Amino acid sequence: MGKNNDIIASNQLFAILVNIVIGVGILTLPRTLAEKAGPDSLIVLAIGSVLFLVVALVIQKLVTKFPRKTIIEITNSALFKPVGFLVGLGYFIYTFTLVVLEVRVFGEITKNYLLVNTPIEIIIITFLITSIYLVRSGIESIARLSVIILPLSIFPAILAAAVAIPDLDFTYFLPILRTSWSDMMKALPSVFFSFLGFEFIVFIGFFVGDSKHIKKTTIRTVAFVSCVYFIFTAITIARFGIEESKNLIWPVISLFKSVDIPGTLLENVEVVIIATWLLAIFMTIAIAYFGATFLLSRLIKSKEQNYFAIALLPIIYFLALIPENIVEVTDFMNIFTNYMGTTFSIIIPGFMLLISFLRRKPKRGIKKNG
Amino acid sequence: MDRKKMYLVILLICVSTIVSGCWDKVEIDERAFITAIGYDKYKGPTPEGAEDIEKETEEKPLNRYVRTSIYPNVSLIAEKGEGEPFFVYSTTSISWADGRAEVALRDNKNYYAYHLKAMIFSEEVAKDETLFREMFDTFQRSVFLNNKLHFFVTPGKAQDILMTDTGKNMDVGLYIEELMDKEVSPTRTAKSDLGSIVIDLNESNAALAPRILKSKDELKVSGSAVLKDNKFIGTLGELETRDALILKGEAQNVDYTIKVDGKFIVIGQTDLESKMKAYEDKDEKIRVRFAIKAEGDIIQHYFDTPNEPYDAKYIEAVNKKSSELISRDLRNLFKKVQKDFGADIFKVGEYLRKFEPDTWEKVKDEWEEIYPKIDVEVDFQMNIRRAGIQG
Repeated sequence: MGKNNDIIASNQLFAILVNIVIGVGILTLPRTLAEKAGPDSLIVLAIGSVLFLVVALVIQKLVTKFPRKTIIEITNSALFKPVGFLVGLGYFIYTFTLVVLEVRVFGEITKNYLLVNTPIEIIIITFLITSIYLVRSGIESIARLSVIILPLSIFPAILAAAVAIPDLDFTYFLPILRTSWSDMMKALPSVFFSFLGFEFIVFIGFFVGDSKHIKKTTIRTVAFVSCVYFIFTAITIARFGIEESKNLIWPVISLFKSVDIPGTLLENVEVVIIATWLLAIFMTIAIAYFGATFLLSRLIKSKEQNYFAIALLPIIYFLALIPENIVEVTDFMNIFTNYMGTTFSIIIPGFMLLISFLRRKPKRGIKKNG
Repeated sequence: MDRKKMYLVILLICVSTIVSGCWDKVEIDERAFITAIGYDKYKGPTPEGAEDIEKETEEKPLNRYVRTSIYPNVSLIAEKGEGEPFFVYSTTSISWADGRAEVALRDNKNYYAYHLKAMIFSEEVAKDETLFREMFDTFQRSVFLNNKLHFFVTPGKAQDILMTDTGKNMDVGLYIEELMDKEVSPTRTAKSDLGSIVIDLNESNAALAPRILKSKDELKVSGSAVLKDNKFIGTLGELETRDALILKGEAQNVDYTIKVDGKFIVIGQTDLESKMKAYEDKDEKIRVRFAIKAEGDIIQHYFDTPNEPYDAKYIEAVNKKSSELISRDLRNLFKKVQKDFGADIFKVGEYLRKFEPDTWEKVKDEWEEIYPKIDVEVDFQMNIRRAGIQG
């Protein structure tokens, strides 16, 4: 099945990136923002999105500079070989941990809202088996499914949130700019981290055929994701107010819960919406899972990635079950995003870009002289 | 080839049985779709023997509530079965979960609260801050409870309310839901659900909840209960509640009876717009001003008084008189809520926080003391647009 012809178009890259970024982060974003920025949540969100666009453009620059190369080869050519291996290993651990965390959060949400009596082990294992099927089929299938799932997961949620519009009170966003600057600065990282997943472009960019469009795709992705985040944060805080948004663990799911479609035809629509939203989380996990297997195959110079999928399953399964409770998962997730997220989405790509610029210059000088 | 197919079939059967995840399956006719739950305070085994109850310890809390739940006879709704239209179960309990467990011992159906419509607290439970907060935390924590369920306070026993036979072959929960959600919704009771009460308590530390009472064999929603500091602190009557809703701009279909020149005139309101403005005046005193614009029709005048209502000057006089009288009523209501309860149900504090942040910074720490002293001004403008079809 054309495994050696793994090329995706840039609009498929858009679907993949949006799918990987939108997942678990948005479900808790309104709470973090309400806690830290209060009525200025939307302003902080807007500033954070613009700042992330800058970071995204830095990462994109690195990717377009080295077309058809993953971060491992980029590092190899920019620095020297063992470093490439180490960086690749780092990215592998990073994506792998991301899979583990997302799987656990997925399990918790499903158990909490949908399958109350089903053991979480069963939820996780069936879910992982489903993702393996997708991961083994390779990047082309993932790209196609991303394009299909993107509207399926996001639009029902936006529609359901729109039903809440009569209950909204946008005065909760007043007074404007009364939060102290230091508090707003403290809220910025959480906006930033809700965009995590974008840095996957450093190895998914490898598959993109028309690499000159990557810049446009980057801007489109960040713009689209910011819009979705903006809509949900605005509606959630306007619906529940600042105080209540601080109390809710998954404010966006509570938003779906508070929606009452008129008439008794359908009650408790949140079940349907959570189910479609799980598709978004499924795509996040599948892509990250694929990323982990792909990086592993690159690291040990194997041509195929698909057999790693099954090998990693038991490890993911056991690691996902380690945290004792939901609070531990959240704490671990915060540590993960704060340290690993910063390292792998800002520091390493930025550093590589810097080095590649530094290395270019003497070369050009030599050419001119020669 | 055939053997391969056989293996495949066996594999498919195994996978579909193991993986289908039917842990949560309960047949629909085996579920008890609880529609309403009521809580009363438990006062010991007999009304007199309140002192007989055993001592509370850390391991063994006392029974605190009498919990009554009700669910409809689903097969009757589907027009397939017969029997009672609804079933009521009452039990003493320590907590929400304990009550559920106690009822589970007696009921042959599976408890299912996903479709709960109404929650009724007796005044005694609502007055007790501990019980109130225990219960509200449970409601907020539960995945199953709908945010939009109707929360009521009743002066009598919640148990009595739930055991009422509505005479319409319906259980009380569904009846209350229809009553509160009908198109022409009652304006003499508070319009709030569990979610909005929680938000109001969080943001302004005060909320209005509808009241329900039983008179003879009938249910009646009437007036509202004032909640503050996470407990019940008092009631507003039907007309007072209506006035409160007018101040908040939430009551559309209201009629006023006003005496003009010795005749009672009834004005039916068709439109209402209320704007609240709070500010600090030069003497550093907080003032609140309601500018309310109403439109209405004359629906009752006095038979055989030709041409009187159909006269611009007369209508102007009625406008003036009614504006004056209604403004006075509204102002009195605001003062009553302010002085008697000190409850900021009109969200003056929230207004200051949002629109006058500088003033709010100054007053927010002493808001509890300042609120009862703020000055109120109500400017209600009635505009009669039509006078029916009789001149």
